[in-house]
Amino acid sequence: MGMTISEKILAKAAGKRKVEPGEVVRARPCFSTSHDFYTYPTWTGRLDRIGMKKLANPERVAVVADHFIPATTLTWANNHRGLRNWAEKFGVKYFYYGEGISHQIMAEKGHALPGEFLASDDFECTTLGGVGCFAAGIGTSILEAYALGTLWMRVPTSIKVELTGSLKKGVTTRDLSQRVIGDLGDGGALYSVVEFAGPAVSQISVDDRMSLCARLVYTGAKTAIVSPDEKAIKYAKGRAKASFDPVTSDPDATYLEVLKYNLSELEPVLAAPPSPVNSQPISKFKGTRIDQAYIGSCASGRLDELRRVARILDKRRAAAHVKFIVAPSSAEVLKGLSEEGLLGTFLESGAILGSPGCGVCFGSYGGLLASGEVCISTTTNNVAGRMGSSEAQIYLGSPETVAASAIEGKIADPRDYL
Amino acid sequence: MEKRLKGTAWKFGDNINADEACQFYKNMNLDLNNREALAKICMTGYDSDFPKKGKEGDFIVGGKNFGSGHMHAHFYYSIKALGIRAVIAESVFHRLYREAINSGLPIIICPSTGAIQNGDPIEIDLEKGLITNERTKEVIRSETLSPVLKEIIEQGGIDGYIKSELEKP
Repeated sequence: MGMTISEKILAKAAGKRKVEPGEVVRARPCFSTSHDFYTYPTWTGRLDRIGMKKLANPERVAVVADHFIPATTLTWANNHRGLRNWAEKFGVKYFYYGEGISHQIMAEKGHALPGEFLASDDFECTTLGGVGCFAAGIGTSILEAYALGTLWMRVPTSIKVELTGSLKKGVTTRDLSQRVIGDLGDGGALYSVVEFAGPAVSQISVDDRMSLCARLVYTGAKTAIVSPDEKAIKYAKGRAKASFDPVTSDPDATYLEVLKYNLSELEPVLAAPPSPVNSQPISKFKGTRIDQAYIGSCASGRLDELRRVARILDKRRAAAHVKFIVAPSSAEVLKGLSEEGLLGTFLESGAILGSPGCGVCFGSYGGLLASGEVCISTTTNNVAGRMGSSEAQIYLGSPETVAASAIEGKIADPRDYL
Repeated sequence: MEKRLKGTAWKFGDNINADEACQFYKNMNLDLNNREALAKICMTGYDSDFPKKGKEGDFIVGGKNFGSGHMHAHFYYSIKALGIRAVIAESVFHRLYREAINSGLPIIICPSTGAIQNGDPIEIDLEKGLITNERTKEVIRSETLSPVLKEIIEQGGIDGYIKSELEKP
């Protein structure tokens, strides 16, 4: 019996020839990372109390400040100072401040690699499956990863999502992922890896694969992954900070379930309130007045997406009553926009350019919603209170949908602009 | 860790949402070190009297997808604070599974919890993976706890486990 890509990666990390779903192994991640939300003082304080004198693999650790940057309050200025001191004291090799969102820059900086196992303290890291990396959100097990270089992992089952056809203009992998999330529902992929496969995958860029893998955690999935092909390997080769071994699933691997999607038949999809799994066709909400439109986060805001958004925004302006905010997922994406001469398009559209980071997505800073306001956003989650007031409503959609909606001042179909 | 655990089973349904269960958005400012206050929010989103019913050593029994949603730590901290000895469920959200184990709270996966009614006295044999309903004498099979996880629970959670590993010569 063959193995899935996830089983192969975990077997290797556990030093075993084979692993079975349900089995609990102790594995060694190739790279471990945590961000500012919990690292200092929560994780560092616990590691101090445990008595950790040194990190197991400081050269394979990145600490990322992405949730409160540039420091949003004095508390966070002090926490970031503490974070930096801790990283220096323990010889953490990679310290990223303001370079972008962890789940984006782990791929960009060559830490999340095809066929390898990355551990993050943040459960939203499924995004990194887009490069063919098994990226697992492991919460407090980051303490073990830092101190001992290991962590326990219950080997997940796998659900295959087979993709055929090709996406029509104005429909994106973000719409596809929302469809899959809605179809699986809350708990539909419980303790499974959602593995995207099939002939359509090769046409999808690595940027769009990352947007496809993002947010799958809301189905209960352990993570999501796209088997690496030449595109993913090419992306990783130019960036890799370590060697990597890109594995793929065996043809006779076992799946809990196989779902099939013909991309040619897909339409723009929204996650409507009250939950990220409430997938609805855009037609149902077209015309709903909005107060804010946001493009950014780890789920969307990569260069490929922003290039397409720029085509929609070209010579157009956001409606006067809309707070239109765009924050690229990383500094590298922002640089790309600048180099390609697209920044002007965004500025002329009336967009407020935010710094790469997580603030808007979780209602911390940079674009909070007032009571009664309606927002359309490319972020990860739309539960009440996520982006400010619990009396605000959040719709989630593709960057193209958000751009079209910003222009009209109401929820709009991006296909009308292409 | 004892091999057999005895207590009362408190039954909850499928899809128990972690944040709703502990009314997280109402209680988010509670200090995670304040056991007394945390015990008072345990499962109150589904049963406001639960902190009065649940006793030290009891069990929470869930159905499918126990602990779903964007779980915050208040959920499993409140369960531990009330003294709940273990959670039995047909399936659990992976975040809860990890964090409960890492905080020293056993999670026992059991294919069907239909044979357990609210308030039943039960006994769990962790070694054999058997749950006995002492009211009906029915015995149901559960997963056994992996030795890897048992080691962590025996050290009181992940911090204790790491400490013991670091202290090994």
